[in-house]
Amino acid sequence: MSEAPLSLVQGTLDLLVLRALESESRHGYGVTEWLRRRSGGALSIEEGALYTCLHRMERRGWLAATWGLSENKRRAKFYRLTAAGRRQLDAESHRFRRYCAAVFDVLGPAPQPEAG
Amino acid sequence: MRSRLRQEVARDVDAEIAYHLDRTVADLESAGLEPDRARATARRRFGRVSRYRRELIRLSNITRHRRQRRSHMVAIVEMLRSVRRRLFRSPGYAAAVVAILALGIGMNGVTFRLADRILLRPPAHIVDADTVKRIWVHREVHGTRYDMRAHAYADLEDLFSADSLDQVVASARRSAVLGRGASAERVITVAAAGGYFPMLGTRPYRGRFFGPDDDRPDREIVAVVSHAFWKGRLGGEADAIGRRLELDGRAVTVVGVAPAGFTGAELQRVDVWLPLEPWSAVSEAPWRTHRGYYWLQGLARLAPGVDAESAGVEATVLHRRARGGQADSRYDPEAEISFAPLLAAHGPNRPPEARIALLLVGVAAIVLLIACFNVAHLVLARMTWRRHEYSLRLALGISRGRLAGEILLESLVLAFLGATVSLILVAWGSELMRALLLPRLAWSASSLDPAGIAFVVSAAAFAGLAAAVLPMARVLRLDPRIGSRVDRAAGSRAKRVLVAAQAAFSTVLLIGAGLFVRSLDRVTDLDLGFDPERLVVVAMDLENGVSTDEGIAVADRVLDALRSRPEVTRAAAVQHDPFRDSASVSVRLASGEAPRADSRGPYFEPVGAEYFETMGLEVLRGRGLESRDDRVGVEPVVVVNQAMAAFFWPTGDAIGECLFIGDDDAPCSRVIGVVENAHRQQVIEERQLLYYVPLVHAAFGREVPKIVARVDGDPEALAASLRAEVLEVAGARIRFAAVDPMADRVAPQLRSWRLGATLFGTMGILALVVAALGLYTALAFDVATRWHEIGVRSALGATARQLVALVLRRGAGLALVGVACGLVIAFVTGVWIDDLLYDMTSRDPVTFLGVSTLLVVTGLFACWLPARRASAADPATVLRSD
Repeated sequence: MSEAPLSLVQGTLDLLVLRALESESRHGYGVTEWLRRRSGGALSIEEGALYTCLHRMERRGWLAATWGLSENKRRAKFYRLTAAGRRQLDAESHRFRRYCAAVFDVLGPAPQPEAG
Repeated sequence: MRSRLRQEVARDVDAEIAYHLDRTVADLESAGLEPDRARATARRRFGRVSRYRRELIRLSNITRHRRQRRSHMVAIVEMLRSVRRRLFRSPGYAAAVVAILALGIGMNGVTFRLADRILLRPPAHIVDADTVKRIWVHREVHGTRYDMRAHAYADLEDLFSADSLDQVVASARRSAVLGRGASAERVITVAAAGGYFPMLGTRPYRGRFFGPDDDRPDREIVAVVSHAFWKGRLGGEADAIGRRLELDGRAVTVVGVAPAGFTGAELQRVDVWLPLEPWSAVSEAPWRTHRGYYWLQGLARLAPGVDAESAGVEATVLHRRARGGQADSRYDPEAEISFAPLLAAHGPNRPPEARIALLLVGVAAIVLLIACFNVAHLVLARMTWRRHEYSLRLALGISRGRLAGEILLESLVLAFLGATVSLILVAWGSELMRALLLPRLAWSASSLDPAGIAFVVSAAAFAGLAAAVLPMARVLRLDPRIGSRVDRAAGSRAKRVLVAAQAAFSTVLLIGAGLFVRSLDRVTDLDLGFDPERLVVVAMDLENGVSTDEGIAVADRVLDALRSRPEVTRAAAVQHDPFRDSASVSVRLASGEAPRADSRGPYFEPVGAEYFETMGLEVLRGRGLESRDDRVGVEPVVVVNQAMAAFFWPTGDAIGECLFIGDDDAPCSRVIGVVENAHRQQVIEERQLLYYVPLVHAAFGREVPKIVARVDGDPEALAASLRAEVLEVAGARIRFAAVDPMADRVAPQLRSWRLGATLFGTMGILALVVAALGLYTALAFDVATRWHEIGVRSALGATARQLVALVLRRGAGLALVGVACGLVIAFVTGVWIDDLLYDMTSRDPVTFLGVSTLLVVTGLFACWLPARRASAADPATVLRSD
């Protein structure tokens, strides 16, 4: 019944993380949780890679980070989107949607599962 | 610092990873996993922790760097804004600081450029100037060692075969007459061997240079002219190539123009270069073979990989071998040849200008230091004035580092503004200095070169830093809690040290200035025997083909004509160019003895009637030479100078004695008079033994004489009309007549003293003004900050005199301490300039006393204004205003 989790297509992680931070700032663990919840566990992301992604986007100026207290009252590093990050998210999600639409067009309608 | 930040970054990364793992483990446990399995799962989900950790640390470090840099930029821009705001708020202060620093930096720029030209850089346009050397010979003649750069042709020829030398060329510098008649003028020529230009490697600006092919006796004479000559006298036209010039009555053809700034191997101006062989072919003297004519400079290019020392060893061997075959008793068999850099400043016989230039670099640095002290002091004073603002800003949480940064930035901004102003000063000042003090230096000083600008920029950076050090240190110690009181005391101590240091350094400079000025005075006051003022020397060049006898007849007519001019009070003929040429010939006494005083002579001077009167030489005993002595057939007579009389006849009177001058069969010349001593060629020379004979008895035969004339008026102004007279009387028999003030021959020898006195004097006065300003501002601020105290004292009954004394005590104390320190420094360091002074020591009490007095008086004057203001304080107003 449950299928094996999917590995991410190259470059998609950035987009997902930006999206995770779109409406509120989160720490790394929060981002992981949010992604898991949203995808229903369908995406397999090595968590270390997720942190690398966060740090890289911080370096690029898409994210800004501050240390704050987490919901369990421990010190944690929170990331939020900067203006540049927001622009990047808009551009990337638009590009990705076009890309997916094109791929779906090529694939045609999904085969109907056999009844039974 | 760096490693601490790196540790911080690593700690943050660790904390971030730990938080994540802990949360994951906690979640898994609450979902029912065993702690061990939960931990293992968490790690598996994360991936290889150590690898990610490394990667995260690397990324974080980059991020941190970028952020830091950006925040620094923002801070500096912000500080610059605040500096600009503050400077606009007090334009007077800003202008004063800029002016002081501009003077200090400008002075440094000027001396740097002089030193750079004289000491550091080889003449322009020479390829690989390091391997081109000047040839020197060191020999002993009559017990005196001479370092000579003038050589006989044969002596240079000996070196042609040296393996350690690529090339040896001879050249001779002398003046020649360009054109003829009234429009004729003297130009500077260098006659050089054909290898000269190829060896220097220079490329012509126009046309071509001459080479070995042009340097044959039978060739037509070609000429290369300097860029300046081409621009000035040939109109800078392209068709100047091929133009014919008349030089010393001979036709030469211009074939090339040298690049601008090219002066050959020397730094002095040259107008025309000529090939040695054809140019010297007219000379009847055996200059190629005779080893007694030292008239050529020698230049050599070292063979690749050979150093000057080993070249010198080989050249010395060749030289001694060649000279050893000669029967010349006057030649030193131990003579040595050496190869020195082209710059005179690096060779033997270093000219005093080079020493002085070096000294000035140090002096200019002191001036800059004084300027920095002064600025630092102004900054401190302003800080005291606005201490509340600083305390307030500190209390508001602005860091000390930020305040110190602002001070540094302000200081640098002011220093660079000063440097910009000083560039004008540097261009203008170095040209002025070159024109006044080093007129023979062919160097266009008014256009700034990159090295000069680079120096000014670094001097500005230094000044900006130096002036900021003390104020920054003080800001870093500021404590907002204690308030301004304690801090004010500390600041005023620093200020007092600065004021005293300025006084001390000014003292040192002024003592230097005093010593040089007094030396110059002494040299100028030297009694040359003759009086060079209002004396002119007339020299004539005969037209080609005019015989010496005709020339002598012309000179006689010219002499008569000059004597009849109203502005000429006296005139006389003289064979040797006065204060330039002289000759010696062996002189015997009746006993057969031939006394000699080494280089002091005796020297022999054929002169006409009225010579002593014209020169201003007093006949001490007997009589002078008269026209009746100057005839063939009368008994030969001679007048000796005092030094010679004393040397030859130490016990008796010289008058009536016999001198045998020249050959063995020379007749007795009767001594008829003793005349006062005179200098022969140098302002500073040992007492010379001179004797004077009538022109007809000149030992080497007669030549066309020069004429000395004493005039009533300014020789400079009269020269033109006298020259016109000479040309008119002499007619077509002469090509050129020169009328030169005698003072022009003396002045160049005073130049190094004048250089020292002028430059030290200027810097000393500058330093004094800056230091006096420093003292004045110190006291003015002092009075202003103690205004309240002064008001209270006044209200308590202090008299005006007591208030003045209160201020004066402070100021005079500072000045005295500074001056005393300065005196000690000058006393100790003076030995460095001892040998640049004439006839005095660097510890000259008159100078020390004079300078101390000057400084104390200036100091008191600087105190006087603030003191007067204090005494005028009206207690009621003061106390009410507070």
